[in-house]
Amino acid sequence: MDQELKDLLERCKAEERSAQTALYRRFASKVYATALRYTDSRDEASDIAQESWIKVFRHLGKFKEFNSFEGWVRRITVNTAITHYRRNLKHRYHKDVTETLATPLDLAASKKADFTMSEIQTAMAALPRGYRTVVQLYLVDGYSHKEIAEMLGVDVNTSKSQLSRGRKQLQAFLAAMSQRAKPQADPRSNPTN
Amino acid sequence: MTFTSNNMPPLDATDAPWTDAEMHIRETLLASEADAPKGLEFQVFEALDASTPASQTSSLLRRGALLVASGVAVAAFFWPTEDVAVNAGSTKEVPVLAVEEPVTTPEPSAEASALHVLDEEAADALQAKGVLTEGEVDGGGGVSTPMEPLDNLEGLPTTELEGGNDGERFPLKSGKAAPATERREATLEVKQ
Repeated sequence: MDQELKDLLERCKAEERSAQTALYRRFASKVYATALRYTDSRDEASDIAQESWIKVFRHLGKFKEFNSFEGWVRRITVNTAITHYRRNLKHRYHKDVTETLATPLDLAASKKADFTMSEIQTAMAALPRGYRTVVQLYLVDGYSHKEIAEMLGVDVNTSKSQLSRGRKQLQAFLAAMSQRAKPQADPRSNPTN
Repeated sequence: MTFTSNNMPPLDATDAPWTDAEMHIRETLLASEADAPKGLEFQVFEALDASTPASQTSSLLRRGALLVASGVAVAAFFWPTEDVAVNAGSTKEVPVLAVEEPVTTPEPSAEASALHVLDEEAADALQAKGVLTEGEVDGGGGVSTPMEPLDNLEGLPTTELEGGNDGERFPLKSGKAAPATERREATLEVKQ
């Protein structure tokens, strides 16, 4: 951790507003992006980000300096997002169980590693929310199946099977995108976030 | 940072290995940033400010509750002591009475043996009436025998005996002082 961040955190612990504002501005885009990964709406992502920031400022004293501050903030954001997810689970259940069947495309095309952020977001958004949540937690944020099971209140085997199915669907979507992109000259000439 | 299969989450043996695309997705999403809405900063600090007084209030309430609880604990701690003090206060009057006894009853030593015989007779009479206990009769003492009241401790509540200091015993002595007075009167009758 760089000295500037250390000083900033010390001032934040003293509840210095200018330091809190500086910390917020430094990590706001990361927190918001993490919140967006776990929800379908920007409004909900704003709510998640807001709650996460309040937790960050309130529990800053618990942060250990030898850890990555960005990682600590991300875990708080993910946990807050999962709390929202579980709260809204009833309303989303029907959407989640609607299985999107993978079409028999050239899955080898999905193995390439040069998708744009926009393509990745599109592919992830196409996953049913249950699959997407498990894929994000396991693949991106590095939680174990045991942790995921506890967070989501499901069985460990459910987490494993959701990851397996989610991965298959993700590859299918990526393959479909690759095939659609083939005729175009250079679809990733202007990558966007 | 480029992700490899080494720093990817472990998979079960039955799972397909991570693809390059998945590693790329992980790398891209972890590094992703998105502009937060303009109003979010204001909302965050407004909510933070709004939550702070509440937490301060709750901490004040907690401190108040702690003070009340500690006050109750202190009162509870001293309550039994006050009880004992009340008992001791009530007993303090008795030693005064007990002190009066030797003052008012200085018997001539020459008369002691005669009185002892007479005491025994009187005691027998009283015992027959059930006024004196066997201990009082066999105590061998005259009117001023100190062992007499101690025997009267029998049958008293143990809570008072366990109370602690000797001061607590005084009321027990004085409580049975009346029979000794009666005995003295009987002695005078024999003289006549």
